[in-house]
Amino acid sequence: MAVKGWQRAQDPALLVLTSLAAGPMHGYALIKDIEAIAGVTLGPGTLYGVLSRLEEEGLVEPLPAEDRRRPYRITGVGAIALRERLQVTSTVAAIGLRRLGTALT
Amino acid sequence: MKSIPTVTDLSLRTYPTWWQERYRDEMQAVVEGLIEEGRSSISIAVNLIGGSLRARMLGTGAPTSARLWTRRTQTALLVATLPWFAMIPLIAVFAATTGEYGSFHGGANVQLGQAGAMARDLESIVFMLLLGSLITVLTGWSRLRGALADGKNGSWLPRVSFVAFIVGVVLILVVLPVGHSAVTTTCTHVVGSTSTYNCPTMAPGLTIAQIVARIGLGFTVIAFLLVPFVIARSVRASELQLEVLRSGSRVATALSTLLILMTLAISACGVAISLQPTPQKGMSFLSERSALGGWLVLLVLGFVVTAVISSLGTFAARKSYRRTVSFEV
Repeated sequence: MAVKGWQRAQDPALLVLTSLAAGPMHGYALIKDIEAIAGVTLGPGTLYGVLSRLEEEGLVEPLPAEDRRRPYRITGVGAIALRERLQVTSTVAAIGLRRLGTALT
Repeated sequence: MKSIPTVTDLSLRTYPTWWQERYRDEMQAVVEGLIEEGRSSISIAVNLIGGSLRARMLGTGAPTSARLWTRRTQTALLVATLPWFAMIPLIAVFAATTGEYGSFHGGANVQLGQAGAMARDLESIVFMLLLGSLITVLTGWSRLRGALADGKNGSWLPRVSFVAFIVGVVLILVVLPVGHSAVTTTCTHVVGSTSTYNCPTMAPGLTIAQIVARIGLGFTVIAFLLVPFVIARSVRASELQLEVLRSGSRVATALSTLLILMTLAISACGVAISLQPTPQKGMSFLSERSALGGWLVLLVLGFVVTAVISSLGTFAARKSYRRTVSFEV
C-alpha cells in the first residue's frame, strides 16, 4: 500500500509551473487544476506564497486583473526552468521504476 | 455575494500591509470560491496564517525598498531579542523551585543521588548560560543605545519603568539586613533516606520586613515588564544604520542560540529531577520547595515557546539584513 505522506510530498512550485504550462490561470483555477492533475489541494496561503516567490524569481508573471481575479502566466525563463526540472524528474522516475522492476510506459 | 466568514477575513488581515495591497483582493476571491464549494473555513484560516507567517519571515514579494527592508530587519531583531525578557521570570521560577538541587544552596549537608547531582550540574549550566545571555544583552544594548532616536516623544513608559525600578530596589535594600525568619529543625540528611541533621526551616507567616521586600520585588517586576515596551518603542521610532543592524543580527543569533541551549539544559535538568527521589516535608525549607511537579511541564513549554520565537526572529532578521545590504551595494 502506498504511503500517503509520500504522495503528498510534492513541490508546490513545480505543480504551479506545470499547471501554468497549460496557459494563464487565476488562483482558484490553479487550485482546481492542480487538484485534477496531482490530487493535491493547495491552500490559498500556500498558493500565493509560491506565486509571489515564482514572480520574484521571474518564472511567472501576473496579467491584468479581471474583476478581483488576476491570471498568471509562465514566462520564457519559467518554461525553461520547468522543462529542465521535469527532465531530471523524468530521468529519476525512469531509473527508479526500472530498479523496481516496472517498465515505464 | 456571499460574505467571507470572519475567521478567514481575520486571517487575511494578518498578512503584512505590502502583501495585502498586492494580493488581498485576489486571495479573497479564491477563499470565497473554496468556501462556496464547501471547504472548511478553519482549515483555510490555518493555511492563511501559515502563509502570513512565511510572508512576514521571508518577505517574499515585498517591494524593493531599502526603507521597508530596514524596518523589517528592525522588527525582526525585536522579535529575536525581546523573548529574553520573558525567559528571565521563567528562570526565576525555575531557581525558586529547584531548591536543594541548586548549586547556591543545600551545601555539603545534603548528599544527592546520581540524578540529583546531574540536576544540580545542569542547573549550574543554566545559570552560566543566563550569565552569558546577560552579557550578550548588555553588549547589544551598549551598541544600540547611541543609535536610537531621542526619547523626546513624551512617552511615560521609560519614566514609569525607571521610577518603579528605583522604588523597588530601595525597598528591598532597606529590609535586606533584616534577613530570613527561620527556625532550626531536624531535616533528612540524604534525599530519600532517614538520616537527619539540623537545618533552617522557614518560620510560618510573613514578617513586616518580608511584606515590604515583596512589595519592592513587585515594583522591580513592573519595571522589568515595562522595559521590553520601552525598547520596542525606541527601536521602532528609529532609523538604524547598516552597522547597527549587522551588530543586532549577530547579537540576535548569539542570544537565540543561548536561549536554545538554556531550554535544552532546563529540559534535561527537569528529567534528572524527576529521576531523583522526591523530597519529603520537614527535610529543609529549601528541599521542600524543590519539587517542581506539574510546573516543570509548563516551565519547559514556556522556554520552548520563547526559544522558538527568538529563533524565528533571528532567522527573519538575518535574511532581512542581507536583503537590506543588497540595496546599499
